[in-house]
Amino acid sequence: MTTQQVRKDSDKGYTWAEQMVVVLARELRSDDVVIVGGARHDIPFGAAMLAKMLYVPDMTLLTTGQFVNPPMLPLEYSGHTTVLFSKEADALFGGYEVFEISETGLSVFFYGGLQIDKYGNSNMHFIGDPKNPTVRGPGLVNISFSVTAGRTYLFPVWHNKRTFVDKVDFVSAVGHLQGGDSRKNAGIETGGPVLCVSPLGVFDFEEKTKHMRVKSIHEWVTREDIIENTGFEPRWPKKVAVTKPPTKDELELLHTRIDPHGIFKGLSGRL
Amino acid sequence: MPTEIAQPTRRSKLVSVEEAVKVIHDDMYIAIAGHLFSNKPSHLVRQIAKKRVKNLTVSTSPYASYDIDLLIGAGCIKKTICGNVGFEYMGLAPNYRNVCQKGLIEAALGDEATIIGAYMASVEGIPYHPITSIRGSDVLKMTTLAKEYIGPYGDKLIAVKALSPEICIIHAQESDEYGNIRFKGPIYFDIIMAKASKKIIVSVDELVSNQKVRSEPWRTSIPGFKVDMVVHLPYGAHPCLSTGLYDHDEEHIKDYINRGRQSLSGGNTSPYQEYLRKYVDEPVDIYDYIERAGGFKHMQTLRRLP
Repeated sequence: MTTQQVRKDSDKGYTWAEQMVVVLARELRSDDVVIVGGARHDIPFGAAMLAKMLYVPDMTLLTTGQFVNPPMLPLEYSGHTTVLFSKEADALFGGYEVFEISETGLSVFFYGGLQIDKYGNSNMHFIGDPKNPTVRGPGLVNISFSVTAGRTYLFPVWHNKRTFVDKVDFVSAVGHLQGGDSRKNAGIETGGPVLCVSPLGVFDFEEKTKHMRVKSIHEWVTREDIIENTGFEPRWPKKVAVTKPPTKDELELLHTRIDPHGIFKGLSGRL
Repeated sequence: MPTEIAQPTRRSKLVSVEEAVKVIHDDMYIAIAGHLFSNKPSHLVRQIAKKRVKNLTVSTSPYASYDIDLLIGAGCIKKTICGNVGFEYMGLAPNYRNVCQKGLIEAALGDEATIIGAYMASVEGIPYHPITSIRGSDVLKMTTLAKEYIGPYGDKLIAVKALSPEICIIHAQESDEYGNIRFKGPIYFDIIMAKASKKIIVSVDELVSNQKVRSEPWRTSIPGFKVDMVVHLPYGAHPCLSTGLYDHDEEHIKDYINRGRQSLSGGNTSPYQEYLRKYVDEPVDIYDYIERAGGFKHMQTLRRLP
């Protein structure tokens, strides 16, 4: 069945998480200032490291409240301790600086979420009635960047109807709100979500409506997998591309330098 | 020939842990510095828990862990002000989760901009700090920390109300006896939180001489005149980490989480009560605590130097 097919990802010599990491890494640019950290650090941190090592050495990587350009050490299960015991970084990046960029912005931020809706809004707080929720999320991560970052990328680690919903129960990080011009009308000047990269595919947002649209599907995934596991009807382009799989170099760096502990092989998520 | 003039010496701010927590009493509002499980003044927190102080309001950086969860477990907290309490990849904070779900404490939510902005207001001596970056989010409808307003120039702004803790407790790596505080890694939100608070108590892993401090003043992050008391507590952050010195104790924290979980789900509260007895109530000092938590030999294994 569907689930069976989708589980085949590891036959390709890489995992769904590694596919997500490389898609995000390829998005980053030399003049980007990117911050990673918090409870769900692994995929963004891996992507930023891969980008910096392979494509954009000039990109600035910040870790929340810690460092500017930390050393490229292997990822650990804790995003919090990875770089703490190295004496090597360009500078410290403290609490005041976090406040400053929360308000004034940076280039890129990555959001996961308990729920993500068709306009790219992300819910990290409550499922059900916020006053009496059935599920309480991990709490707050920095929601400011959904307003002030130049671009945001969504990276839900689950792709199913519970995660991909028509409308989020609670807007934590603002996406394109109710679509169309609603984000602009709310007084938010930045572009918002550019891509949503999931275990099954890569999605962008229609220019006018801001509705989520399939951009490419990962090579082991079918159109039906997407339809069956998405809680709304995503828009489809005329021709559906296949996501470019990880290259030999990308995989090599991931396996030997960035993730020798195999975090991306054992990550829970997907369906 | 000039005569010798007797000059008074500076007053040491070194105190015992008992003396330090004497100033913390029921109904107080305190701040606990550090971030997630970095640089948490864990032993000071355990002393507060040991006293079973009641009805505390506690604020932290946007991410807290052992500090908040332990104080809830010991029944000390009435209200929390933070973003997220948890142990990252190791699991959720059992007591915090429990009291939030049952509505047993008031848990005010904020994120980086709201919480830091609120401390900044106190640092700058103003009743609230304007922020702009959480507009559009439903958090604004939920949080008790922020309100929308129109500024005098017609701007749509969000006011976060000043947080002014009566006492801030901090863990740092080094200090001299006069409370000149030095870190060996990221400082997180400690300086802002310290400046926002009326009194500052710091635990440090190591004491250094004032001469050493004065020979490299650029290494001092919080000058002694701001600091009220210093407590020398080697491994005072354990089971949390102390930046540049020792890592968090994963086994200890996992055991802590499990005990909390078992106690809350099974109705048998003994595993967690046992934790409080063994690590909070019975230890006579930090050395006794270290012995119970695996001894210096075990602590050495947590030191990961590059």
